[in-house]
Amino acid sequence: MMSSVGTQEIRESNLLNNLINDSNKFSNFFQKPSTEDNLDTASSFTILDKKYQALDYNEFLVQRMLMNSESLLNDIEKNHVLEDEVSNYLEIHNILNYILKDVNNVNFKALNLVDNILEDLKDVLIAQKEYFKDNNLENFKNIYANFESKFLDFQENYYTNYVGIDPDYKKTCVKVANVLKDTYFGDM
Amino acid sequence: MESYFFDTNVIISYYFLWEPQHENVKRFIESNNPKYYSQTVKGESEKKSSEIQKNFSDFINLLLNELRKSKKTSKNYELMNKSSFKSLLTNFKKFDFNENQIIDLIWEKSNEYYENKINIDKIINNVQEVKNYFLQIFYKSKTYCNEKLIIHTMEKRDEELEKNIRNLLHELDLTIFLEAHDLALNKPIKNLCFVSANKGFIDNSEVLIDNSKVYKIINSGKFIFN
Repeated sequence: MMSSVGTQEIRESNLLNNLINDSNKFSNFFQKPSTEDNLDTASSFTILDKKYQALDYNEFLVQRMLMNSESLLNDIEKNHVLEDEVSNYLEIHNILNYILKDVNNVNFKALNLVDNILEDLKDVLIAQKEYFKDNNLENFKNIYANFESKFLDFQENYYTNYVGIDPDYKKTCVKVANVLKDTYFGDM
Repeated sequence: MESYFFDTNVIISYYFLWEPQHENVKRFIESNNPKYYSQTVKGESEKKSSEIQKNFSDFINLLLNELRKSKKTSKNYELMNKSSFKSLLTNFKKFDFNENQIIDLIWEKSNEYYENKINIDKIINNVQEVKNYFLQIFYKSKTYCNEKLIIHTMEKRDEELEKNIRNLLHELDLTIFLEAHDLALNKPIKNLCFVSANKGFIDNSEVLIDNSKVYKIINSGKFIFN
């Protein structure tokens, strides 16, 4: 039992590290594709026609990031200690999907924001490993509370500064708002 | 010029687009009049609004996750029909939304049909845009209140007033009204209006005004701007 939990922890850490590494590679390559290091990395990956190399490498990185993020989400769903671990990571996962939805039009500042919160998540994985050893729930809760406070700042920063409101959606949102207020929040 | 003191329900209505009084309270809160709230109102608003925001975000996030799973298992060129989309929401009963109406609206926006089916990516994008829209309004409204409203901390609880109005209001509402009264009493503020949609304040407005330094109680839902 302990060894499977231990293996799981290593897997989660690897997924998280790979995700952050790919994000850094993607940002570097997309923003400065012609630097020697970046070209070397890309050419070792692909054997396709050179004119498509950059794009294919970017797409590959994005797909691998989203795949790793999804695997991490699945692992957190299976191994979480607190319910909020799942819902908070799902939020990060959805934001990442949204930022990367168009590989040619990525907001790198927003992606950097996600990278930072993923870095903070490493502390949670380390604490979780400790929790499975010593069963000290209070300690884990304290560490998670520290992460959650950073997560809430991340959310606020993201939606305030990195999300553009599409005026096309205003009409739909007002209609959705009317449904919500009638059915769920109306009696607040 | 009148000054405004806002109750918790006014702040919450300002934060969320779906609140029935959202547009009306927006005109109060974004007016040029001097505007106040209290520590109690701020604390209560933060607690309530965080719960609502989390509930809404969880709902949308689960929906997006289910849509992505459907995309993976789709054998039909990643197209989805409306009834499949509706069936996704069976997992979300705990949220108590009127899912069907919301789905109709999301569907209506995704107007790129192919044999009555829509590309799942398009649906995902629409759901995400709706979420972005609501949450940006929420966070920007919160920032606006933090920056533009003056926060009042009660100097002294007026025991005489408390005794006279204790039976009219719930405990927390009583504290909030005492804070507004304390503000009007101790600061050089003329015509401090207490703005709320709370029935307890509206129904007892005459007694509350007669006994306190508050100038007027304004029903935020009924007030008509000129």
